[in-house]
Amino acid sequence: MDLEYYEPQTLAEAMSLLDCYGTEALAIAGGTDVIPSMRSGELVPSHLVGIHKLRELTGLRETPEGGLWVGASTTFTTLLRSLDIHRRYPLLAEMARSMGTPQVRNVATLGGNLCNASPCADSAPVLLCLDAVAWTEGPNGSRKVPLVSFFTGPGSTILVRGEILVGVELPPPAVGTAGSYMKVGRNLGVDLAVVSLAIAGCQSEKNPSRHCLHIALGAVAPTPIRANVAESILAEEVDENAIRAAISATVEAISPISDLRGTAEYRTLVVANIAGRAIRHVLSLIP
Amino acid sequence: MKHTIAITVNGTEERLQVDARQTLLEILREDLSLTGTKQGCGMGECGACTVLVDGMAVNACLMLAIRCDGREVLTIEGLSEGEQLHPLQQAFVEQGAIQCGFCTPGAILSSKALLDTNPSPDEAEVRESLAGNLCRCTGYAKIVKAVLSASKHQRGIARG
Repeated sequence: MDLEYYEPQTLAEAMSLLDCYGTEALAIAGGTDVIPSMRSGELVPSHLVGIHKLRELTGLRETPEGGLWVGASTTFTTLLRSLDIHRRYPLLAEMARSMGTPQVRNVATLGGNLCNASPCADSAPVLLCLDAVAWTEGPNGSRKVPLVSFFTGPGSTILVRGEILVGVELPPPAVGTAGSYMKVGRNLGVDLAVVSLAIAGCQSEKNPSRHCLHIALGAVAPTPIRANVAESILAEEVDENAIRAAISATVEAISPISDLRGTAEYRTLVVANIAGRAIRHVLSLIP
Repeated sequence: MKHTIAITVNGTEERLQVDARQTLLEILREDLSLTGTKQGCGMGECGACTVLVDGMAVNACLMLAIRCDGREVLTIEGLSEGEQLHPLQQAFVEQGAIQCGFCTPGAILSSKALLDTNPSPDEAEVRESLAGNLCRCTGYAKIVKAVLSASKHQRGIARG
């Protein structure tokens, strides 16, 4: 089938191309997911819209609130090399380092990883536990959607026809935030996650004797998820009983499938194991 | 529809007619007969097709040719100066880091990207930079040794 390629100069032009061709069009940024999917026949677009150069999708900027806005076309190599990210959002840098290979990180983009909406998207758990907000622009205007509501299923997001993810906003990190990122794969590098888990935690702002932990998981449900019940348990108490209850609640929150990378039973055991390890690790780092 | 692109490959500017679907790997091998860049998995996992685009290591199988318009590409063919091997090529030969040879062009280009930005890497950094280059002869130890040796050699030259 014939394939047409466009490289629009403005966001408006990109949106109108995507809107005009609808399901026959596909936005492409780094292409590291799109190209293999086109080769395998999983995706058969007739119009490709290259959005990687659009000014509105590039850059890292401090927000007026003191957080960070990351453009959707930021590559994983850029995330990994940004001193600002290392200093203020070290979990994000750690995740970027574990994503793919150097060759893939040089071209793959944060926005592409999110819009591909794989349940095992590497960037999702870290961004979810940092309370990231997705910024989109579409024919019906702009939206700011908490990332936790961005994914609607494997490979699907809230984006409507003609709508583009332009960036992700991270709130300012709370003082003394500690974190843990764990990605379990079949080998150390390159592989997709069998289970991934990210936790960011700090003292509660309202009551310094209490804790606030955000727990997010990937590759264990149709979308990346937050373990809300486990978080509520740990917000009340962080003794050994509470930690055990939080681990059980985390396991309750998942609905893993069996695939070539691991069985549902294996994923469940891994979640119980690494959730406990990560919760204890983060608690030990909170002053 | 065909698109015209201008791309500099190993220092020579080429004007090519490409289809939107064609990858950089396809035009290097088919249109420019630069078969030193290998096609392995075609999925961005094995690294046999690694080339440098504007100095950055990329999988040529995942890069649309049309996206290379105006960019500079370096393949394994562009490394030596006539008969004079590049220090990395020389080190791979000397250390026996070439078995079947299929992964060698990609491994050398990933290593060049590393040494261009970090002239004195430690072993862990070398291994990390080669994480995207699979060697099915499992000759990794010698490849790592060769990269470290080339880095030492290049620094020796730089010092005079």
